Amino acid sequence: MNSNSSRHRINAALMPKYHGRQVCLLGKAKDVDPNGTYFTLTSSDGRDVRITLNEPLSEYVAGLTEVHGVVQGNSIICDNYVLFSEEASNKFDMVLYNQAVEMMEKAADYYIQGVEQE
Amino acid sequence: MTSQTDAMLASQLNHLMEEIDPLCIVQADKFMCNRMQGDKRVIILLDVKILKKGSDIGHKLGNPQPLKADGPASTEPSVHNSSAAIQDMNRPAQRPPLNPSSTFTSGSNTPTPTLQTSKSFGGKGAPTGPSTPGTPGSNRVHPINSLTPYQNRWRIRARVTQKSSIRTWSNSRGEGRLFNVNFLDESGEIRATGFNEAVDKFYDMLEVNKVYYVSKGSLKTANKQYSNLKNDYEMSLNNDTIIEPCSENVDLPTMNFDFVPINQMEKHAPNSVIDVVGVVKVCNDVSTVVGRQTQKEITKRDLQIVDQSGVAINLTLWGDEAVKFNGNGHPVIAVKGAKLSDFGGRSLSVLASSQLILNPDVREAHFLRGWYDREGAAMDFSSFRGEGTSGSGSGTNWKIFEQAKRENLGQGDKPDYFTSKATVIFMKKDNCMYKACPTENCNKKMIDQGNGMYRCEKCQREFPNYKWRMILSANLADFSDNQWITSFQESAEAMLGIKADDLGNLRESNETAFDEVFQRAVFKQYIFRLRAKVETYNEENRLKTVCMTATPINYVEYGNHLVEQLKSFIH
Repeated sequence: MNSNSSRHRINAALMPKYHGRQVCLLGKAKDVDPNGTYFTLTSSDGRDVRITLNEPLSEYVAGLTEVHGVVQGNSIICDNYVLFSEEASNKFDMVLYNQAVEMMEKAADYYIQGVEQE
Repeated sequence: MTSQTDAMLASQLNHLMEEIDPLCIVQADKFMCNRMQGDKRVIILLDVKILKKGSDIGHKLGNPQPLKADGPASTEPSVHNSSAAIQDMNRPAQRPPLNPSSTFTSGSNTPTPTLQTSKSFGGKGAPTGPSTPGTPGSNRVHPINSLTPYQNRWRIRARVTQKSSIRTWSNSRGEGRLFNVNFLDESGEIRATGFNEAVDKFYDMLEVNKVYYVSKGSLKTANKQYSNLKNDYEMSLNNDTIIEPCSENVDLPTMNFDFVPINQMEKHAPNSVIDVVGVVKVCNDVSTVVGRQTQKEITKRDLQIVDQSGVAINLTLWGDEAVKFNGNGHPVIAVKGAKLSDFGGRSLSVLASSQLILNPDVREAHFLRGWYDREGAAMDFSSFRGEGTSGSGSGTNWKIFEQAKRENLGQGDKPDYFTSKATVIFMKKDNCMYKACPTENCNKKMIDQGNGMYRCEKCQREFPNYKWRMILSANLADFSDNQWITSFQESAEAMLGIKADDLGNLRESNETAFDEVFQRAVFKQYIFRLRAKVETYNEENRLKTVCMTATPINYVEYGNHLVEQLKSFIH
């Protein structure tokens, strides 16, 4: 599979499998570095992942956040992110979301993510 | 060859009817000779080999004469097999040459015996089987399925699989007592009934699951009203009947089952009696109910049993059996003759006549044990649902529209209830509401009298006012199909997002605003609880699907439902 063509939705447990690839990790952001160059994302499976930014943050990041980037070991080099509203953040069911992520991975032949290119 | 005689095929050989043709040569490997009324003798063939087809022979061999009855020796019918038959005859010289390999035509009253080349005459081999030569009325054991009223010299070796309690009867012809037992061997089952003296003689000695030799019972056509055994005949135990316990170790099956897989229960009519085997998934505590007719308190215990079909069903035990039952460790339970009811969709009840066995030594039970320990314990099971019982809980009868059509929901005698997630794609504005009688609980459509008054035919009254009632036709769609539904007051108000009275006012005062209500309402998603039932209008059958409720989607709840469903697919 061409890694440029698909961005899989993963949780922290799946990071080793997606090392060096484009992923989408959704979690709750916290502990933004004073310089705005990294923050911590608590993933849907409850692990803290370091999110490294190419450019310092220009806004306050907290709560439900979706990070797009490349897996590098235990951290993700962030290309861009989506910040959800506080309301969405409060009623989001992280347990259910995590089940969905695991299921997409388990049934990858049925839930096809991204476009495969030759 | 010189003699001819009549012969009958034992009923277990009925299949040979086709093969045996006139002039055919057969070798009788096992047979018995019976004397009928007068001097007529009939050979009953228990095991025959066809040596040559009649069509290959084509003519009568020799000039055989009818066999004549003679000396006392031949009045003692006995069981033989071919070569043993000859040896058994103590006075062969006195006896007409009754040849074990004589030939007969089947089913014909005018037998045309043919000459045979008496191969077996030479005493080629020792008799096989448990026959004991030289013992008249021998010890040979007959299979139960060979018993018929036409021969009374038999002896069976069988296991008691069921024993009733002693019942009394009293009618115009008198009164008495009786009991039943079922006997089982490798070949089949037969029900036996003992009356009065036979009750005293045999009731205590016959024990369930023990093996006995039985002979000299009288056989008659079975009364299917009282028995569900697969046997055309049944046995009466009388004064001559001999029952002896069998002390040998015999390899008799313990019971014969005709198990119905749990997911097939719906194919059987309610109140039918079936056999079932399953793993006890849930064992509830003993509880009591008050009998509807007797007003007595009855003890019961509800079990939930499951099998490889992935469906669970309730099984109720009663009385002593309920109290004594131990469901620890998810035992396998087999029930012979459980009653199927349509309570709660489908459920099972153990009757007084049912036989319940824990961890039976049958193939199916071993398979179940292995399956449950390996994967069944972790499986999610679907269960049968009665109407009106499904709420928003786990028991909701989820259907996609394609499925509702494919499964012909609503085509049965009872309405089918199901739940679907769907999008409203169209609503009919015309005739979506009417002016109804303002009396509480009367929603009858009123007749406009044209003078500012409205008449309700049901209440027989005229009113100056009315209330608006909704009767909204809507088309719903999910990814699989679409479905027209009829929605009444509350569910229609929920979909339109407006009270019926407010909408009625809009309709009369502001048509644009009225139209907007409908425009805003389409393409919204809800969880619909639907009721499907075929109704007849003007002798035409039409499926009518009524919306019971339309509730906004709780995505967490719905998401969890999807996860459950997906898990069952992925496993």
